[in-house]
Amino acid sequence: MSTMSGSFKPLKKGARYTVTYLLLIVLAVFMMGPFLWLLSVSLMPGRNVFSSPPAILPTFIDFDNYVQVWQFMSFPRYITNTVIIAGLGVVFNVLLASMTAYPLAVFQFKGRGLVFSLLVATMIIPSSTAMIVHYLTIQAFHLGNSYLGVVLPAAVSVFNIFLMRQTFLGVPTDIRDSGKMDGASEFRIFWQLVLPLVKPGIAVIVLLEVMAFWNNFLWPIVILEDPAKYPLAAALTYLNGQFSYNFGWIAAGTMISVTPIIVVFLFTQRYYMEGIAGAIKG
Amino acid sequence: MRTNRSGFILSLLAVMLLAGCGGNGNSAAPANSANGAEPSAGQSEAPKADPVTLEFWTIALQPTFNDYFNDLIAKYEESHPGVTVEWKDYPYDAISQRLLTSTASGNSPDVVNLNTEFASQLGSKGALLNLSDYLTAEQAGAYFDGIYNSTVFDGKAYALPWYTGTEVLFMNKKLVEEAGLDPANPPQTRDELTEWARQIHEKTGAAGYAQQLVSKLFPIDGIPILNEDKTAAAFNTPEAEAMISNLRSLMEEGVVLKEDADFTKQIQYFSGEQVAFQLSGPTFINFIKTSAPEVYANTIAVPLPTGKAGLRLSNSMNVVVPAKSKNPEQAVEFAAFITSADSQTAFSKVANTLPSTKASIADPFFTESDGTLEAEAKVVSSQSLDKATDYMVGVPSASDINSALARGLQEILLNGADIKQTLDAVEKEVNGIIAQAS
Repeated sequence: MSTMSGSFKPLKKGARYTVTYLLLIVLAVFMMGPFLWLLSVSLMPGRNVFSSPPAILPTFIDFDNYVQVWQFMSFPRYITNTVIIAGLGVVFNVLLASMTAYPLAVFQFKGRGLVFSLLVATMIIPSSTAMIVHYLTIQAFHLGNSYLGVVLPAAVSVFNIFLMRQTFLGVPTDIRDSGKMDGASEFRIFWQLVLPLVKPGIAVIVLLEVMAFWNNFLWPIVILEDPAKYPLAAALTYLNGQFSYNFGWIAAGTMISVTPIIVVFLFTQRYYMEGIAGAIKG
Repeated sequence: MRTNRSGFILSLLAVMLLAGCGGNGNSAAPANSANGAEPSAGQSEAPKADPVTLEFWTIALQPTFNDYFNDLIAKYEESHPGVTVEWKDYPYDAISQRLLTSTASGNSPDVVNLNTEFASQLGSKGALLNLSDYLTAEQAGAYFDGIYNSTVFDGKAYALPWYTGTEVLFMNKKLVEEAGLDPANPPQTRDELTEWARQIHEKTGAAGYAQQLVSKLFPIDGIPILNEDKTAAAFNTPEAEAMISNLRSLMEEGVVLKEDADFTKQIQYFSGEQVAFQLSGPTFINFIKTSAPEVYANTIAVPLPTGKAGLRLSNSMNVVVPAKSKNPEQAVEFAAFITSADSQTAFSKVANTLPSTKASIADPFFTESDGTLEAEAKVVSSQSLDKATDYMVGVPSASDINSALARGLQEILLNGADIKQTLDAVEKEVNGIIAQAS
């Protein structure tokens, strides 16, 4: 029995790989199904969008929807808005989260545990209940119709602080000690020695925040008076009017708006995995 | 996509809080209007010395109707020196949140476009201006009574009806013919419609229709939601039980889709030819025209078969003035202008919708069909406007009551709960809502 299985080993291994890959491909197609459907709908103008079974792969390709929706909405302006908002949001989040998390992870001071637990406790509050408070606060700062007003309520998140704290905990304390020996200030140790070591953690925050700000829809509409300042996700709602509805356009507009996210993810994917793994290990 | 339940309920809670604060402004308003009695009776009213800016909000009408509104506003500003109108447009999903946050911060808009359900909800909580104090009998009488009265509580009118539509029956001609039925001879009653649906289901495998499990199922069959003086629930009757158990067996048969299908899903089912009928307002056409061209080519519109009540239900958009508006007089005047017969006739022509003013309907646009599906549906729908009534006529706290009823229907039809027990529970809940509101 054992000798027989020995001689069949390569074959068995091959079969196992085939099954594994087959299952993985099925799962991947299943997960990507809605995306592929949207893609094929956007590429096939004039076809029944809701035909059953749904068309996962396009039978022909026509860029009419893209051309028309590009002419209908000024995408360059909305993309610029989105980039500004996402950029501001990412910078705020990375800076504030890492600067808050560093002392919580490294310094020894009274009440450190309390501060951290209080921060984590606020994660329970659902963000939608805070909307009116956020609105009143931003109005009081006279930031009503500005990008800063869009970004500030989400400029720092407890989750990011938590993530960075776990990452900092994974950095050996020797580094801080050696920095001190060489006479570097606390800030310099943080900025020049420790921060470069936690790039994976930062990459996770960048990726998560780019996605969050890119897809942010309700808050920008609530806080921005001028639709010309809307980010893409908010502006796309204009495609879904009371009397004007073109699903092909909505699909094409959505494809245009998610492409940058996919590109960002492809580039930061490696760091993302590392960062998540690092945070969990820590 | 169109309804956001949890967000909506959350916002309603907040509205109740706001309404508490708004109480003062509300009672002060009539005193205000006493000086400037019937401001909009003649447009010759002398303009005020200090310039006024009115903020006007619509739901999802930009950019398609930019030309219409810009013209209209320019015309209004010209005849009303000193008044500037700022037009803003928000998506359906965001307008209630936007309204809440703005009102909370003291920047209430002046004229807002809302659907009947939300208007009645806000009106019965005191967040809207009572328009009866400002309008002449002649102005109020310009609208179809059934539609105008849908947002009147205790003699107080909280909204002016705007564009509207009554439901018509859309039929997939191909499926109907495949089942051996004659589309030229459409069903006249709900029972006939059910028979047709059953035959289509047997012959073609497609279902008859999909529908949302909402409170209007009661009034269609002549079951009032509330009693005459709107003080208690009145829907817990043997007739209601019969209606629901009938619907439940239709769903089990597959004649009606066993699902709480909102408008977006109804579009998908009809476009995917999974159902043969669609019961909705004429705007439905816009949604299938581009997403399912070949189904569009196969669709015809006929008058909606009526239920036991013989009722025609309308589904209107309204224009309201929030109680916190800083310029109530000018706001009401502008609201009346937007919903006047002339403005509505013009809007109907660009938007292919129906007006809620009696004078508009005489226009040949609403009586002659040029043979397209749009024109067909429009004529069919407009002919029934004078008999139309909104299904939430004068129901206070409409949103709360609607969601209680909808939850009850879901429990029974989708989760198999007992009919009588569930109706008892919902009745108690609705009575609680009314007791709280008054």
